[in-house]
Amino acid sequence: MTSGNDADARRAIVAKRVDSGDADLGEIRNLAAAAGYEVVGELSQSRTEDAAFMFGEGKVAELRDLVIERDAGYVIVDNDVGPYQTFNIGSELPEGVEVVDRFTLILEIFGQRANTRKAQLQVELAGLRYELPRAQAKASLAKRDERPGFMGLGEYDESVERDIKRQISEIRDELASIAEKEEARREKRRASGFDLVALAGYTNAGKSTLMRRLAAELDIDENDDRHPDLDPTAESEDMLFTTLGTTTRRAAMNRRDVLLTDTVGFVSDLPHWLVESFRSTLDSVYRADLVLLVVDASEPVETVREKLVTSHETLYERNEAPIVTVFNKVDRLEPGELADKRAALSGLAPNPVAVSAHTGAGIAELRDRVESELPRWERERLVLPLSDDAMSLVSWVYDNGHVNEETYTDDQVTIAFEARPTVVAKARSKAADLAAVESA
Amino acid sequence: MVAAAVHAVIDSSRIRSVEGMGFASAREGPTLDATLALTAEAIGNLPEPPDCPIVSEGGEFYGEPAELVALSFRPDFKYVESIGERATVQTAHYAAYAARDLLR
Repeated sequence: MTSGNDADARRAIVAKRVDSGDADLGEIRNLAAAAGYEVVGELSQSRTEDAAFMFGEGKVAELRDLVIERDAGYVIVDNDVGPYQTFNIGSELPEGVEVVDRFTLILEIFGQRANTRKAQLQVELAGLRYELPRAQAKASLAKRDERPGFMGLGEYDESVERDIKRQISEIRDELASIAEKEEARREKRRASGFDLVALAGYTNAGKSTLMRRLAAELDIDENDDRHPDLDPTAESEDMLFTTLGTTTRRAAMNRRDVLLTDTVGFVSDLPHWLVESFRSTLDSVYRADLVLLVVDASEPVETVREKLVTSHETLYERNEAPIVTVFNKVDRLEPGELADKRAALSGLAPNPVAVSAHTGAGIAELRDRVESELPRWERERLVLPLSDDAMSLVSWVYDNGHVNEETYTDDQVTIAFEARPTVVAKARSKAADLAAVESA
Repeated sequence: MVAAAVHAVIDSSRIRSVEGMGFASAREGPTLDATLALTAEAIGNLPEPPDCPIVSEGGEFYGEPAELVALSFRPDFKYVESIGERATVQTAHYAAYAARDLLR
């Protein structure tokens, strides 16, 4: 019907209901903009949830008038709108106007940004999981009008439900096999002496900018072209969800070889199934040796607290690594503000590192902190008979650890080094083999 | 109903040490008042009275706002925030389940 449904002019009204107090429409506006909608109006209500409409009936009428007045084609509701509520709101609005809820909106953004096979599968899985109860509701609504008898026992829409379930299980299998490959790759990287550090945090906390700051020149991932905000020449975008796939780069640390992985940002109020759909992306956080939890310290302290709580909630249960909280964007703080925020958030973020990824302030401290928090390396000293095999072992140790001392005598080489325990164990066994060959 | 209180020293992501546990049980039904009273009793049964905030999961007190629940506790009350707090609450859940099994 209206021109509002044109793909190039997606005019939308954002609406939100809160139980009490004032509704904050800031985030949903940003999300809508990130998905490519033009927000032409907003509406909020403070009342308890209406079972049929989510909003009060009077508010829904107001919404309809606003939609007509602003010629909007979409209504974006920042609440967990049930399938029946969506149906009811939709039937009150002019024909052709679509009701979009927070999750559909986030899925839409993910869908637009999903460039890898894995990301596409994850978006598809999340979409199907979202669709499942709605297909069930549709079938149940359809059944209400049906009567038993001739032509009455049609397939209803239950076949849709079965299809969805089948697709969900297929996608799960494919994702599981991708996750296995990634796990194998992580293990390989660990085995070759790399420590894995993951950047996690709420969306728009500045993880990608921080990544760029910490990363060495050397690119080691083939995903870079799909991650435009990592391009050193690109302007940092003040945008939600610029990172969807994970990107891994080698970080320039003093001694340790660190691989830094940038991940999808967390968002609050996401249902469990949506987080679960992105599990294999989050695996790079869960399976890291250290997690840098990045927060935008320039935001009000309550917002930072809420975002930290969301992050902790997402990390809880699965995360095994120590967490270092990074207060980013400190260049935007007033003098004294940082100390106040540190004190207010000491329970959630004890001993945070304050940095500005933008100006580079605090980055050196962050590097030191990362090195001190990584799993301890063991010290070892090996005395090897001088031979070609011994020299190749020495060079292997150089690749996988940090050599403190290397001394040569006529027939022996002594090497003192530090490395992760598995590397030390491997070096010992290699050295034992050399000694065995020597004495044989 | 069985309630368990766990007094722990934590940091943001893990439990450093468990200082003590307190238990309480009641035959009453799970009303808000009964749950609050039982929880307060479990906290009272800790070896040392804690001077840190009492923390619980959001669903524990029927989603009532923290300010309302806080009226029943001293020194302070809040719902879980950090991973360390969640892990401690989880420990208390295990302890309560185990205690309930013993009482059967």
